[in-house]
Amino acid sequence: MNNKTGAVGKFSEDSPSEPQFSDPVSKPWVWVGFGLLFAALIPVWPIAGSWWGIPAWAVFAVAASAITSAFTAFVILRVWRDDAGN
Amino acid sequence: MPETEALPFGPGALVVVGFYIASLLAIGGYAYTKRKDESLGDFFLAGRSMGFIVLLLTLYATQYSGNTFLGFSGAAYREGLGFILSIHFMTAIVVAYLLFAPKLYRISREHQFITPGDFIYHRFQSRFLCILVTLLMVYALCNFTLAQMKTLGTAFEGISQGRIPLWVGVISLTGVMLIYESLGGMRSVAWTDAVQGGILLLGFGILLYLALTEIGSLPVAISKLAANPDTVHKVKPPDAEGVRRWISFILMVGLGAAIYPQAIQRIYAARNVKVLKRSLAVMAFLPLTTTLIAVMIGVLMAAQVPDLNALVQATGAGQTVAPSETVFTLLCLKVMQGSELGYWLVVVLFAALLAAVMSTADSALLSISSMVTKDIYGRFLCPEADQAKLTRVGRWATWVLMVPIVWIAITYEGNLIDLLKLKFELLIQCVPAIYLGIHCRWLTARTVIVGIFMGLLVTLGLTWSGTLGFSEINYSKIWGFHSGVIGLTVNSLICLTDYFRPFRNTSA
Repeated sequence: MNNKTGAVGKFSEDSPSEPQFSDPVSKPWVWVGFGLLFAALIPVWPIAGSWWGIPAWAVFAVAASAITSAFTAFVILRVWRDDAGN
Repeated sequence: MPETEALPFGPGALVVVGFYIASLLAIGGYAYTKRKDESLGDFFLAGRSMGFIVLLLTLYATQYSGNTFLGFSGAAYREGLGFILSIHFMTAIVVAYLLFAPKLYRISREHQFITPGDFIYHRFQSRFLCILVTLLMVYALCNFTLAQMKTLGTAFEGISQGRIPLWVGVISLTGVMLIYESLGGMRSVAWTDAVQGGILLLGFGILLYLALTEIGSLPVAISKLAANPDTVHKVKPPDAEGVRRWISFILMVGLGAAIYPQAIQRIYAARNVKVLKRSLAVMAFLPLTTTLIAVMIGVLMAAQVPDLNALVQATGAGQTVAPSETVFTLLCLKVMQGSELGYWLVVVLFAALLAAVMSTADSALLSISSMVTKDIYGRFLCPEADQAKLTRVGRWATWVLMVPIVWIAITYEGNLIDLLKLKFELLIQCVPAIYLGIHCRWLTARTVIVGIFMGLLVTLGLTWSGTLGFSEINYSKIWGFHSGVIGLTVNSLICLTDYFRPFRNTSA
């Protein structure tokens, strides 16, 4: 186990002899994904006009929120693995 | 009762509400027969056996309160599309779970945790830190429960058209909650939450239908708002300070609401990790089916009734609630007067409002009771008490704790309200203890304690700087950032100093 993370419990992340545990926090690409999505959520992007009669910035923010929800669900279901917990 | 608050409910509506309340008591009675033993795990965590549907609906019903109906639609009325922010911060809560839930669930199974304090004590081996975190959480929950009690009384007063005074509504509905909670503990609460969560989902579905059929389309409302100089700001993106406020809100609510004790205890109570993962995955989408609807209602009503303040003043309302927070009631009134179907849809909607309030309040109450029983009584006052005795104490604690909360809800309207606004600001000072504590072994109890105290000092110092005479005004926000977020930054930086200590402990 990494010395700087995983403070509590004796978790083996890849040992074949022990139940597999994968924590999304330890995956850099998950952080990058959430970082990009949270940047997209904030209404600082130069998006003018309107889409379907609604200000484009608002549609973009809601769409970014929907994608964040989908990405979160993906990470929960696919990246977080805990064989022992089942 | 003012017109904007009172709704013309007839006896039929009261019968529906009465049936709903009776069903809650019946569920409590059934949960009592299903208890397995007199243990804290069985009483406070339903024997750690919650399945997917119950866990999902109890998480949902607990997370979305009466404030989602009244407060969020009111805020969207005031701020317009800018309150899309609420969808983001509700989504951020589920993202925040990901930061600690995978490991916390695993450890909680290994060490049979009941409360968040159990984790804190296990991780840091510090009684002082455990009691400090517990007190902050109990404070936040008492505040939360108090707000729900007030809403409960107001909603009941509204549904009875003032025939049932606020104090009778608060006391009787609290009595119902206490009875079913004492009978079955978390099992009762989770099962009633499942019913309440179902009603809540139905309620928001009805609300969406009513909004689109009774008020009109969103593009029309937006063009109306854009054409009016007084309301054009409601369709514009936030300015620079508004953007910083968005970031602050997402951090504060996302990080704070995920560590609400009742939320953490639902993580402990999942039957297995698969159930927990599936429930959280669905929760990630629920802001889009709940918060988004509340925002749409607010925006549609802003176009429909642009001068609500004048309307409220003309009808004599507004003494007890902000005019914008009568938006939901106003929509209900309009729908009820439209047709017989509309009347009954609003009855269901009010049942959903009651469900939202009761499910949030009962979960908070049970969590308070568990922390007082396990972390204060069991750990400090009577360490030799066995599980059966602690469970009995837990049952009594629920009743005893509720007395002052109900009393305050009925009587107190002074400066305490200002203090209550600080709920999240204070709760998030526990963030490093949990989020960093679970991942960073170099973090020590002493540093976390110093961090919490400094975080609190900064938060309260800024919030009351004017009152205390340090500045001309109170700074609840600086540069758009909430005082609590600034306090949390200081708190976290202090905690990070442990990483750079030369002889930090890196052993397992």
